[in-house]
Amino acid sequence: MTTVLELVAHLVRTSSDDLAEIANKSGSANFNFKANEKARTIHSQLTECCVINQWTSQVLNDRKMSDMNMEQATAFFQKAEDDYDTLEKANAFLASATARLIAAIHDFPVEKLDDTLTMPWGETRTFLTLATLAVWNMNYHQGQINYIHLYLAAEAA
Amino acid sequence: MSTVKELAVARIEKTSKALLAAAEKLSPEQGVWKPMDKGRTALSQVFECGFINNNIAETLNARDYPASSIPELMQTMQKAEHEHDTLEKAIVYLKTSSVFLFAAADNFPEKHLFEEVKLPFGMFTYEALLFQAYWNMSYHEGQINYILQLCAE
Repeated sequence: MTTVLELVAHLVRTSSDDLAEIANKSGSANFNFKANEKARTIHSQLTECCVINQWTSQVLNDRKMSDMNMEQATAFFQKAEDDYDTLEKANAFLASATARLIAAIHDFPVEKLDDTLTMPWGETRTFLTLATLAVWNMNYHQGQINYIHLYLAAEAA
Repeated sequence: MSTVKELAVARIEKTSKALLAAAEKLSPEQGVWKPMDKGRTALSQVFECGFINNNIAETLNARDYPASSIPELMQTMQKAEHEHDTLEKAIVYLKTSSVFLFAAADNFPEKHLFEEVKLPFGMFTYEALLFQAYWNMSYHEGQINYILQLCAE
């Protein structure tokens, strides 16, 4: 019988692998493509997934919410986007952030899974549902990045 | 909430609500919009999520997949798509099938979650089917919100 922590670690692994595959589908050429001013780039979305994975691993390891408020989080994300400004760098960041998150999930004590914390945006989550936030986020952006490919294919046809 | 089943039910419920919230932001015109008249519409995606949720719920309840071959599945899907051919109908279908799926998942015995069932594309555990519904709705929530960004021009 798979435990809930083993399952979440497995979901993180598969979501991260699927996200990397989609993000690499068209190589570096469309890394910063924007369909319009409001639409996000592959670069921005991939970096966000890396930051969320890394931040989640830190919260799980510390067993408490980080002190970072939304303003600091936005600045942190912006710096990450500047630092990981190529597909190659973002891929390496995703690999390391995912590995950290999986290790943090495996090390997390099962008896604390239902303890609650307040997210920087005000939502209350348990440690378990916090760990699945990274899975949802990677699946969500996999969908968006794949739609960018669909958009580009339609434009090229 | 420390069991695999409880986690699956809670995540499916939350994701279906988020997907519905995104779908309900679409105007009827945005529901059938596609880039350069190619690619996939939001309507098609909302319908697909409803159909998959319904199929997985039926599989959990009957311990058997409702189609024995890919052509049979495609035929059933085309018929259901024809019946849910507007955004309004597809949203109602997604709501109904999501409630059907929570109930089926909630009633499913935890001890049988890792048993396998035969689908036209291979063998899957019931647990994998539950998280397939979760993945599918999260993925299409992303795509529908992206369509909303594109239509915001």
